[in-house]
Amino acid sequence: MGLILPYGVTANMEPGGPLWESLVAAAPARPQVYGLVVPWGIVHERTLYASPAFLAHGGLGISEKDAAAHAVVALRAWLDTYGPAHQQLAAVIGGPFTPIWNRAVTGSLMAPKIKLFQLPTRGGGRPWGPIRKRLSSFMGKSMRTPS
Amino acid sequence: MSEAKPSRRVLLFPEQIEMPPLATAHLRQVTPSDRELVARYELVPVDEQVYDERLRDLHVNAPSGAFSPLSGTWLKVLEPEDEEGHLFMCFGLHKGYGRALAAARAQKGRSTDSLVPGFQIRAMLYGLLGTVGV
Repeated sequence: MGLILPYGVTANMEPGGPLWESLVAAAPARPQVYGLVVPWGIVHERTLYASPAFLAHGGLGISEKDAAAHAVVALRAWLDTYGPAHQQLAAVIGGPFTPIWNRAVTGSLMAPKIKLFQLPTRGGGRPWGPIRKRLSSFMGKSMRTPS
Repeated sequence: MSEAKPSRRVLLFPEQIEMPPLATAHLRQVTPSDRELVARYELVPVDEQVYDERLRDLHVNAPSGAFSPLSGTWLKVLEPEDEEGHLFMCFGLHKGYGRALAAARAQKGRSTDSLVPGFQIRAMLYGLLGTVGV
């Protein structure tokens, strides 16, 4: 089971941040955790913890548009290469990550194994509660269902 | 009779990568093996001071093994090969990931001039420098 979170899409959405960790904790057993990072595509959580300098794309000499285009290609390539190693993939999407996911997943053989969870665009208060519940439900079922 | 448009050949790796303020990387060789392609770059420092202070001993301080923060790729800085201190680095691309990258690029549109973007190799070198505190 893999869980992919939108790295930096909002405050505390990085490894160790309360929001990130609360989403990871929603899984009944700890999944493989990744971040979607623009422009790099999928980056493993342990790399994000280390925060190497290459993660920031400011100063790389590419536009936001090119960065997004590269993220689409890199995400699709990762899904097709490393996705099959996962029984299921759950991905939380939102903001600029939504069109990247939509473009990358369209036509992928991995599409049936990926469940996207859209960030609430409004709601205030505790908008993450429902996502945590849905993630927990999905990942619990996935872990109980043989592939 | 119209002339056929020449097809634009996509490079696997960029031939030259500017890495300010450190060096320029020049592609010297691509070596295939069963599982990966290895691009060998010569790092030409911008000046002797940069070489002496930041690059010459990079291979000594770098983690043993390759620096591999992104799936399907790795980077390794090699020892200077001669007294003139020519410095090389190798960038590795796993073939399976490379094929997927090429397919994704064909389906999703061009995002860079080469299959592996120069900014990725540059960022990985900067990341390696940051990791070893250079």
